[in-house]
Amino acid sequence: MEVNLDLSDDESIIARFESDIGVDGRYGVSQLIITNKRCIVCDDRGRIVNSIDLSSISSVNIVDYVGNSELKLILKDGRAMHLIRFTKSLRREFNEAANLIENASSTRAIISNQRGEQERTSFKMTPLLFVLRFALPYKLALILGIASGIASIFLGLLPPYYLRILIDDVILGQRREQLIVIIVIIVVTQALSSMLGAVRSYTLSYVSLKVMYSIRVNLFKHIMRFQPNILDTYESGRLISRITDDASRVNWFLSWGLEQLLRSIISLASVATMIFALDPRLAMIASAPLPLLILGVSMFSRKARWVYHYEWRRSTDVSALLVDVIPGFTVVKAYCMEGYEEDRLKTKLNEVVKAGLKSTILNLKFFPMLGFAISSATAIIWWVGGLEVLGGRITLGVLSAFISYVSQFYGPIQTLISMVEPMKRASTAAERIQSLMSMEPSIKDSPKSIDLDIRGWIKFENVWFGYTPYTNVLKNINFEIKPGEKVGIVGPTGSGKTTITKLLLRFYDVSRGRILLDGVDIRDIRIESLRRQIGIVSQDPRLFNDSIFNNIRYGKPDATPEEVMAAAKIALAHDFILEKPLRYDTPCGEGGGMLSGGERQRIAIARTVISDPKILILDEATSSVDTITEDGIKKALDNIARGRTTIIIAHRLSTVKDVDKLIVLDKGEIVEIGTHEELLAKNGLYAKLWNTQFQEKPIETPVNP
Amino acid sequence: MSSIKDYARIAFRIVDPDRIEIEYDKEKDLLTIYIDGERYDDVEPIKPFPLSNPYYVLFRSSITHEDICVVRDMRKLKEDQRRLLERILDRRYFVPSIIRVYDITYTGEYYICRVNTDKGDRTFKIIGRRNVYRIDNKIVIVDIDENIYLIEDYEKMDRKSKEELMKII
Repeated sequence: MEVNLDLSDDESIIARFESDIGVDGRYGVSQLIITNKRCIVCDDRGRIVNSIDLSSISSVNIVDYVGNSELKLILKDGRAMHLIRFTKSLRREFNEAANLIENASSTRAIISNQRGEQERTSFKMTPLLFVLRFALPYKLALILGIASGIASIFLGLLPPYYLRILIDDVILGQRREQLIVIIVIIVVTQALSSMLGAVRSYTLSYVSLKVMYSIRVNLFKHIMRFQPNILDTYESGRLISRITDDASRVNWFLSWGLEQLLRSIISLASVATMIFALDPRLAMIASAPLPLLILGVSMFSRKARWVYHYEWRRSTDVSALLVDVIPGFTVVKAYCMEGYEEDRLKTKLNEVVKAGLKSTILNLKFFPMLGFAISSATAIIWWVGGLEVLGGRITLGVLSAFISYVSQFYGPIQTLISMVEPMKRASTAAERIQSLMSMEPSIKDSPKSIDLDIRGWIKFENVWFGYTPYTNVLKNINFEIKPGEKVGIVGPTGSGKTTITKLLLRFYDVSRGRILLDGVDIRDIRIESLRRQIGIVSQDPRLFNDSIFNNIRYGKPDATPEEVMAAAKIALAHDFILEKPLRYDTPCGEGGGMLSGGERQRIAIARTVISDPKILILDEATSSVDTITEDGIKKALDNIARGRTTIIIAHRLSTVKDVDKLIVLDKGEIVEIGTHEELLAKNGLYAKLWNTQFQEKPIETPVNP
Repeated sequence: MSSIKDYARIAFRIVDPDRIEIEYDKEKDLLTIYIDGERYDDVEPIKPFPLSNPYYVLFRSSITHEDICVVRDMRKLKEDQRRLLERILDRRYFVPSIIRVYDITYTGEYYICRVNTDKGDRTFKIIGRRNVYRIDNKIVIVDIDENIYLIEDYEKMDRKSKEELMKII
């Protein structure tokens, strides 16, 4: 639809939304265009039917009717304006439009600077060339592998040639003195070819496994540079897939694929030249057993099942570790344990390397047998060729040479056929890896970032924030927490409570305003320094698939055994841990699944305690446990909160009624601040929430009929 | 707000192995310990890290559950004291170390492991990898009856044992 909007110089379009109801109220097309200055509605011919300045808008609503909805504006002069109608099918899109108008009219300054990490789709370098750099450290081994592979092809062409000489010139020509020379040449050539084949297999396998190791470690390190908001762009499963599946596909190309491609083409061209030169008619017949050859290859692959199985389990160990760590990304970052996780991954990857070399050696044991099976398929050529020889149309030497070449002819054909699909997969995988590696984290230390010994004075100054542009989750937040103060943040679900803690930990940066810690903007504090001094206990803490001891020590990797037990003691976990058969060596299971919710929570508290945080955040820390467990956890939390700046986020208001100050949030805005008593007296939202949770309900007594 | 280091120092008193005297109370199957002449009755010795740090011992009151002290390396105790403690702990922590694996066979339901341990030969069943844990360089196997076996260092096992273990690790 062509629209002439007549935009001014400083006006630009932010978004367009197409409705499925026309301005005449019938099914059709109309359009809402939002610029940085106006809301414009056009009809199906692109004519402007309504235009309103954003500055004159007071609020935006979507009003639902039967079968359709409309976007309604309330203007600052009190008038209502029915902007555009749409069916329920477009309810979600226009909800976004409403948010956009609302935020654009108040936050026009933040135009799309909060996009977060964006994946790039076009690159200067082709993806396969990009990933080729991972093979560069092993270029000598790679060149050796490829060169020995190609050399073995040319060496492999010689024996059939000498075979023809042996039969036609030596045996049939009765030249006894040349017999031993030819035999020695054939044997030496075969031996050299086999040796080169083995060198090729080993070096390429070595390159393959090392390249895979390198791609995975580099991808993991790169991902660990990001903040948890990367999970807004990528689902954790996708990130895992890039490290495991994509890395192995690309790796296949860099080592085996590239070599096989070159090798197969050169081999095929050479062998085809030879057999067609020898006998074009037999060369045509040679193509017949191709299906049998493919079947034989597939049967072989089943033989090595157990070894591959073992190798696969080593790979799944890597996946299991990643599935464990990646969803716990927030915990890794909060405890600055990127290095520790990298080391754990390296250990597992080294096992993958070892297992891979085992399967390579096994392959080498099987390949000669497979070769024998392939050559037996040439019997059919013997029969036809035999008749040719008996008919005197070709010599016996030519037939023998032909048979030898034919066995070399099938291999590259089969290889090239089977390479089409993995080549495509490798190229796509390389593209995905390139796009991820080309991304830069939006939140990182600046050169002027400092290490700060935090005392615990927190100040939010006019803080605005939204996970997506124009959708503010926090609006103009202002509050102050003094060192050692205990503050509760309460409010209905979705009011922005947890977002405040995410901003404090700098998982995201504010859109506007600033957060000060001891008077320093947190963007000027080194991220690791900041997070090492903030401890967080969340509603559903993530433990790693490791022992209880190692899970607690996650908060302080150099902690002594006494410090680990002391932290557990403060968290009221020491006693139940000592009751377990393996005590502190008890495995927690994946995600802590081998422990109960209360046990998990107390171990997570111990992990926080051991890190000696200056600021403690308790985010619904007791909401998912029963009352008895909650009582124990509350005692543990009281133990650690003493003397530390503490922020408690809670739905259950009884948890926070004794804090020094309560901040009440509603729809991203602070609506009340005060003590429990002050807020009850105020009779506002807090009082309403309190009464909802604790008002006495009338006792229903059954009425006798 | 005291640091965890300070609290750990108070909560877990580290005792020099030379300064502790241990007596065994056979009737109660508990210990009486003396630290610099101070007496503590009804004490239970506990290995809080039985696999990762097996010589670390925590002495705890079996009545009040108070943590009395820790000895970081029981091998440094006086000879007679060490033997006494070892004897008591050996009974409480029966974790045989696997020296050799004869064979591991799969029945479709269980893996049956025939092994030689430092406590003698043993055949046990496990369900699969879920019964095998790694703690640092050690491998811990818990059989279907919850008996525990330890492999101190997989790399140091003989070739045949390693090949067999490949089936379950």
